[in-house]
Amino acid sequence: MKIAILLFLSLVSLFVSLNSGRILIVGSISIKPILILLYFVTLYWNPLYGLFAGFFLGFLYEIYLPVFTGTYPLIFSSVVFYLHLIERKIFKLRYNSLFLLFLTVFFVGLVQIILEVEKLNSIPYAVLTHLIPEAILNSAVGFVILYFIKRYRD
Amino acid sequence: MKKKFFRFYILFVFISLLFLICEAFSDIKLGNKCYALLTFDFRNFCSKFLKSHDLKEENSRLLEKIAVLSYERQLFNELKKENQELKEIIEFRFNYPKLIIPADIERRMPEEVNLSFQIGKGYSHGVERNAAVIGFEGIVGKVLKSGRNTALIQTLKNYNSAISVKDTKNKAEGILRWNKKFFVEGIPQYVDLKKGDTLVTSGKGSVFPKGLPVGVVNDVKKKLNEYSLEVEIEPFEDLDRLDVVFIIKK
Repeated sequence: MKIAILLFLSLVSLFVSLNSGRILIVGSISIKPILILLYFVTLYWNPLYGLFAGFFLGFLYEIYLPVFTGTYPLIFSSVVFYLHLIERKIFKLRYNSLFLLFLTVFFVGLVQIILEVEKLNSIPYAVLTHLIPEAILNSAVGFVILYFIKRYRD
Repeated sequence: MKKKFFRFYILFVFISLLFLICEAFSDIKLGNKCYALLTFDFRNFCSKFLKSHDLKEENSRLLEKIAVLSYERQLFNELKKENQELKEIIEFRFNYPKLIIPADIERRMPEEVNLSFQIGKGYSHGVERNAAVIGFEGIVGKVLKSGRNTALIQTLKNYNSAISVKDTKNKAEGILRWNKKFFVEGIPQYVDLKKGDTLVTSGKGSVFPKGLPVGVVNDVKKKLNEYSLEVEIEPFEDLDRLDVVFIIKK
């Protein structure tokens, strides 16, 4: 049952990610459902599920992206791994723990920009106009999810 | 749990790096193959399978078409060849107006070793006895007999044939004869005749006009205590493959 739920959530997040350019976009910034899913599955559910989901979603996600095969499984698996490493060092149910989600989205976005842009001098501009707002937006979504998780646990 | 997690992480990193290295540094596209499996277009596959019957019909229809086209191509080649021959005849007649009578060879008559032709034109067409006969490339022979609508051509391949020829370079003259091979007799040994030199008719005698191409020297031999050279020649005209000849009017 748990695996079925994970599979369903993974497919939904993948679908939303691939179509976020059309439906979940504010200006040039968009929500990253896969990262949010990995964040919450790893920290609040089962890290192993998060690892599997990250690896296979990475493969499916990069079908539509002009990158070498294996890039996104590596990125997503590593994200899950580092989230798991610092899991015990944070108090998960506090809202300030969402700073970790902010950092996750920021660094993954940074790696994406490094892979995509041709001129590195355009990166500082992209950090200000794209990465930080995107990380804030995703943290806000995480805030809503965390609110529901807390209510559910209470 | 933590150990298991760590092992899986190492495994996934290893797989990802393997894909990355394969794609970046070699022609092996592991990713493409995996994606081909993942994105296997089942509907397209089914439609292809259902269309296989149509393909068989189309295949047989195309085979029939190929057969028709092949036949037409052969026909076209024949017409092309005929067209080329007719063009050559027209060009030839244009170069020698009024003097030339073209005639088809109706029959070949190899009498033992002598080769003669029967042509479909006779004195009613202006073909006279002892008129010179040429082909596209060079001399063929002369008219031996002329009937009302047919004539007999004595070719160069005849023991009785003797044509006065000369070398275009040295102007040395000799007599072309045939004895199982073509040779020229009567050219003195001091004449500098070499393989590849061209021979034409000298115009002496009453049959062949001057300057008709005859052939090229194939071999020259000098014999001790003899006056003349032993000259073997290769005629321009291939007598065994002729279809049309031209009679030069006197």
